[in-house]
Amino acid sequence: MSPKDEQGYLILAVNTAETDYVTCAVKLAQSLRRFHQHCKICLLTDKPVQLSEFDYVEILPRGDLGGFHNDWQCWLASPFHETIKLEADMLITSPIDHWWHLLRHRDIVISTGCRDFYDNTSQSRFYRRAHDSNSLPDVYNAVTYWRISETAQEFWRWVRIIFQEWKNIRGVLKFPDQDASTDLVYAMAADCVGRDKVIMPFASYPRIVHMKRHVVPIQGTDWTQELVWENLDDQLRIQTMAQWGCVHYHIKDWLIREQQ
Amino acid sequence: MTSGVLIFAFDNADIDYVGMAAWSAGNIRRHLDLPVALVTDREPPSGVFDRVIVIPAGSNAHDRWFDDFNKCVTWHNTDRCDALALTPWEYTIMLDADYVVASDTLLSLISAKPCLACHSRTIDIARPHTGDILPVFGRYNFPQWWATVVAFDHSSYSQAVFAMWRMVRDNWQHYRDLYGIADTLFRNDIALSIALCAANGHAIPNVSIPWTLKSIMPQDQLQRLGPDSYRLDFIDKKQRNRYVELTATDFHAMNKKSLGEMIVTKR
Repeated sequence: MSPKDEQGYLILAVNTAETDYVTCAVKLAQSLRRFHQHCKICLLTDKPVQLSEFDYVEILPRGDLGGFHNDWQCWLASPFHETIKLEADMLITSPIDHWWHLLRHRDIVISTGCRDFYDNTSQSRFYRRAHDSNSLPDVYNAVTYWRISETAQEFWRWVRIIFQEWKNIRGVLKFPDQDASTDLVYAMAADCVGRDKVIMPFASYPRIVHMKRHVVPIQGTDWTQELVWENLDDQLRIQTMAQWGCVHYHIKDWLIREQQ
Repeated sequence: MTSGVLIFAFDNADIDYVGMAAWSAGNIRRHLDLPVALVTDREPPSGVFDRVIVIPAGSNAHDRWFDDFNKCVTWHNTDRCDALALTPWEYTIMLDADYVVASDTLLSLISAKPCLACHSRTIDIARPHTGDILPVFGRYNFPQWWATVVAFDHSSYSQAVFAMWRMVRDNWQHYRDLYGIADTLFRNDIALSIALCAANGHAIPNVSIPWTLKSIMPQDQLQRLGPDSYRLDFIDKKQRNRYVELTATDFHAMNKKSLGEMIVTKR
């Protein structure tokens, strides 16, 4: 696709029987607009929808391939020359437009590592067994920057190949997931392209706050039921701690329940 | 700008905190050349402290288990949040009575005068292999700072911290519930930590004193070898008797019984 705009945020959201990802994307777009009123936001989904939160609504060019397998279509569908892809089940809790200046030193940057809600770098490797066992980089697809370039094209080509050939490729991995997970596919693609070209492991940006059980010190699986949180107009606080950057809230219906 | 040290000391039946503070005042003058103010509930011997602030201690007592005494001891610890209002100094270093000054390290706080500073890292002198400890409290691992050494001025940030510290004290049960704190006993370290974050816009503040607070655990035994030289006897994890000597090193002596005996006998 030829770019329609210079730079913008892309949110991939395809509803499933269990999860209303499009509403998650709307909430994410609203949180972005709180800090960046005039930023461009594109929703990438499977059906035409009219939602005022988005400047562009693009339809998956190869159709709904199911779950994570749609991910590589972001490259084909983004209407921007420079794109920051954001996972739908996140909130933006502070200005992030400085990311553009920091990230455009590379053709593509995948976020590395994650934080807990105290802003400590997570030491938990519970969800990273396959990454660690296969010496893959600790990448999180939740925030991914790219601009139209040969490096990005090469990276996305590998993402597509790995997703399409997952049944064959998983055989060479230790402890592979049954189904391809985007983080693992990105990590493998990063190695194919050259990890030094696509990650900045020592950078403190862009990094996400992850709310999964083994990253944050909760007893159960649903942090929204266990921790004290305050979702205010311009600030999200968890256990009284103000959040910065992206919060990957993981409990998909949290904000929908809050609205009700 | 006047600078000085502030010590809170309320005696109980088992621990002579005022005696500890008096001994500490001598060390402070020798190493830091700073005046010392004492906050207490009775007039101490004259000539020991530069200023004495007498406040009633009646309503602020708790019973706390002390390992070194092997029993519950009455503990007065809830007035520390009034330090900013009570201090006679424009820039204050508030010290626990059981903090041993054996060097001029604290003078760098007087030189730099951060609006508020306290320790975040601590190390057990007898067990340094465990490394610097970044303590946390509550069910959800909230980061903890130490109220053992708190340097502060009268800036709006310091005022906000002390006001919030007081609010935590006055509503301790609420904050216990909020942070999942099992201990019913009010703790200044915890109240200060909550206050520091709240006053900093609910974010982790950058107030840490850049060196580590060295601590001596309640079960270890302290002896004085010379003016600023101490011997610490302890049992290691293999149950062997060991000792370490400390010279010209400030430390927090949590073994109050041993410290009190050392001061009384002038060993």
